[in-house]
Amino acid sequence: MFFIMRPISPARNNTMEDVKLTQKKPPAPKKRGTIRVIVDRCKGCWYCIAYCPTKVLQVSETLNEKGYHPPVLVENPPEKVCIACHMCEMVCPDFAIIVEELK
Amino acid sequence: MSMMEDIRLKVESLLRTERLPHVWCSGCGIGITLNAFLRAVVRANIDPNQLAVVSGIGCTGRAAGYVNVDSFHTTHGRAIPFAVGLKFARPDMHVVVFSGDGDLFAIGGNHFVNAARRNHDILVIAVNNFIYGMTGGQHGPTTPTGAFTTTTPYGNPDRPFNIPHLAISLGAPYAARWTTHHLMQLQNSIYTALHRKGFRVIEVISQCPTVYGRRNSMRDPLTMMEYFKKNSIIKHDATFEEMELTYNGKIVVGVFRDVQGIPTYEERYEDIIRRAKK
Amino acid sequence: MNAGRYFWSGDIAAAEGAIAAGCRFYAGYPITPSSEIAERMALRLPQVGGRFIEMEDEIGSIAAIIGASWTGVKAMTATAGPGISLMNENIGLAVMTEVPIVIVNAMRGAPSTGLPTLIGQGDIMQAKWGSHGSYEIISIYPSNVQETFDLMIDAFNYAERYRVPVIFLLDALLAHMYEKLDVPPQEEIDKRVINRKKPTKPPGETLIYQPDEDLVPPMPAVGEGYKIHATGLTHNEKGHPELTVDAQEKLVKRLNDKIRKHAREIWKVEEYLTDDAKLIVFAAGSEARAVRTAVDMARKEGLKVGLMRPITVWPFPHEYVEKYAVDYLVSEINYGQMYHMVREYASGRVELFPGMGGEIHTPQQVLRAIRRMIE
Repeated sequence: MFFIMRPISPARNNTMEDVKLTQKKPPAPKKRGTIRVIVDRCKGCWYCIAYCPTKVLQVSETLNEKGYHPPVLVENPPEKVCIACHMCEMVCPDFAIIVEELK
Repeated sequence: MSMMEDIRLKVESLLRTERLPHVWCSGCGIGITLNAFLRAVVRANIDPNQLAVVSGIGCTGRAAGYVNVDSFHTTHGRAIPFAVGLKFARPDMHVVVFSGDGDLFAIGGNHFVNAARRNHDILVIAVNNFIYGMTGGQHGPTTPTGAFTTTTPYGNPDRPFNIPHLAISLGAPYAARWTTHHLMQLQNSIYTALHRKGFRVIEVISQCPTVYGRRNSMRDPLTMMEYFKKNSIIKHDATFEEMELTYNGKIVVGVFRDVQGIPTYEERYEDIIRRAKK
Repeated sequence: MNAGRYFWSGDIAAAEGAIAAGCRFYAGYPITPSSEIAERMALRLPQVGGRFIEMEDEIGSIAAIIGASWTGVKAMTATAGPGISLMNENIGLAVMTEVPIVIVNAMRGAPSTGLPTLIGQGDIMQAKWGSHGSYEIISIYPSNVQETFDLMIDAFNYAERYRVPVIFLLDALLAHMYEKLDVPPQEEIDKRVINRKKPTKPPGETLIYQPDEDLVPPMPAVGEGYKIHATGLTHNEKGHPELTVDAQEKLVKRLNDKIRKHAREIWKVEEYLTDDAKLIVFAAGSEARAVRTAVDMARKEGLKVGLMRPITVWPFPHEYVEKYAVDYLVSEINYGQMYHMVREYASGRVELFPGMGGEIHTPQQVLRAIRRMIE
C-alpha cells in the first residue's frame, strides 16, 4: 500500500479503481494477518464484514455489553484468509478493530 | 511493526480510550471520519501537543471529547471563532475545527463565511449528514430539497448549501468533498490539507442511518454506504452546478481547489506587528 | 504607556489599563459607545506584540477571546448592551469552562437599540444574570477616568485569580468623557498584577479541573502537553462530560462558591459621609458623581446624608449595605435594578429614584429626592 503515503493531487483520478481492486478475488496472498476486536467498542454496523475484500469476517455469536454482536475472523486457507489490508480497521466507526500482521 | 500497524497504534494513543465506546449510533459516519482524520494526523507526523481540535455542538460536536489532544467542545455554531482566537493567539499550533453541517453552516454560517474570507489558517472538517441528528432529525441547511425529516414531513422545500462552492467563492485555498465510503481518498485529502496553509475546508458526506436514513428509505447503515458508493463521481474540476447535492442524486466528490501561496490572516498580522513596533 | 499625566476618555483609559494589566489579545465588534476601545487596541496592541482582530459579530468576538485565553494570553473584548445580549451564551461557556476573560460593557440607553450615544444603567442585572443557569461572575463599575484605568488592572487580576469572566461596566457618559489621569510607572503596576495559577504537576498527573483549596483549578495552556479537554457540558475533574446529578451538584456549586467565598476579597465600595448618615444614597458609575454633589448640598442644609458607591457590583457587596441600619435611596438610571439588591439586605426603608436613560440625574433632582425621603 505504497500509495497511502502520497498526498492526493487533483490530477490523480484513479482512486475509485483502488476500491474496485479490493473487490476482486485476490491472488495467492503474500501478506497474512489477523484481527483483534475490542469487543465492547463494537456497535454491530458490520461495515467491516461488507468491506472485507476476502470475506473472512463474520457476525459472531457473542454479545458485548451493549448487546451487539462483534465480528469474528473465520479463515478458510489457502485463499480465504486475512491479508492484513487494514480495510476493516479503516472503515470501523468505533475504533473496535486492530489488524495485526503475521510475520 | 509494519507502518500500518504503527498508524493504528498511534491512532489509539490519540483517542481518550477511557471514554469509548463513543456516543455515536451504530454505523454513524462521524466515527469513520474521525478515524480518517486521526490516521492522517499520524501520517503527517504532527506532534499531538501542537494540535488543537475544536468542535461545536451536535453529534459531530462530540468529536472533540474523544481526541487525546487539546480539545474544546464549544457552544453551538461557535467552533470557528473559538478556533480563530486560539490560532491567532498561538499561530504555531495546528488548529482543526471538526464539526457538523448544522453547526458550521446554519447557526455558525456567518463565522464560516468571514473566517474563510479572512483566510485564517484553520482546517475545517465539515461532517455533512444532511440533518440535525442529536436533536432528533430536524432538517438543516444541507438537507437536500425533497428529503423527509421530522420538520419537513412533506419533503424539504429548502435548498441546501453547496459547501465546496461556498468555500471556493470565499477564496478558501483548499476545498474538497468526499463521502465516508472514500476511506483512502478522505484520509489522503486530510493528510494533504494538513500540509497546506489557510482556510481549508473538507466536506465529508456522512451517513446518519438513525434519523436521516430511516425517513429516506436507507434505514440500514450499509444501505447508506451503498448509496454513497453507487452515486459518487470523482471530478476534481467539477462546476458549481455539478457540486450541488440533490435528493438521492449523484454526489460529485474530489479536491475542487488546492492552491498555495495565499497569505493567511496570521501571516498578514505578523507583518502588522513588525510595522507597528518600528 | 509611559508614566505621566494624560487626558483620556474612559474608553481610552480602559484600553490602556488593559494593556498595562498585560492584556495582549483583543477581539471585538464596533458598537457605540465602546468603539474607541477597539480603535485604541487596534493601534496599540501590535506595538506591544499583542494581537487585535475585528470579528464578524459579538458572538464571534467572545468566542475568539475564550479560545485565545486558553493559549495563556490575557484577552478581552468590549461592547455595549446589544453586544452583551449576543455574548451571553458564551459568557456561560466561559463560566462553565472557567476561562479568564474581561468584557467591557459601556452601558447605553436601552432596551434594544435604545439611545446609542447616551447613558443608561440598565445592564446591571444582565451582567449577573445574562446567561442561563445559576452562576457567579465578577463585575466592577468605575465612576471616573482615573478609576477606569486603575480598575482595569483589578479586572484582569480577578479574571486570572478566579478563572472567571469579569464584566467591566462603563456607561456612555464615562466612556466618552475626557478627564486627566495619572498613569503610574509600569514597574509599579506590574507589582499589582496577578497571573493565573499554572499546574504544578506534569501532564500525566494533572486533572484539568481539579481545584485547589481555594476552589480554583490551576489552568494549563494549549500546547503544553496537558491534553486539555474543556466542554460546556457538565463535566468532572478530568474535564470529561459527566451528565449526572452528582457531577452537576459538585461543579455548579463550586463555580458559585469560588466567587462567594472570596467575596470579601473582591468587594470594593466607596463610602462618602456614611458614618453618621441617617440616609444613604446608593449609586454607581457616572450617576454617583451627581449624587456626591447632591450629598454635599444636603449636608450644607444640615441633612445627614451619605453616599455608598459600589465599585464591585457583583458579587453584590451586601455586607456594606447591612452595616448601616439606615434608610437607603437608590439612585440609578434604570427602573430599579440595584434597588432590588439593596432592598434584599437593608433593614430600613429603601426607595428608588429612577431615570429611564439618556442623562444622569442632576444634583438638584437628587437633592429633592433626598428631601422627599427625609420628610
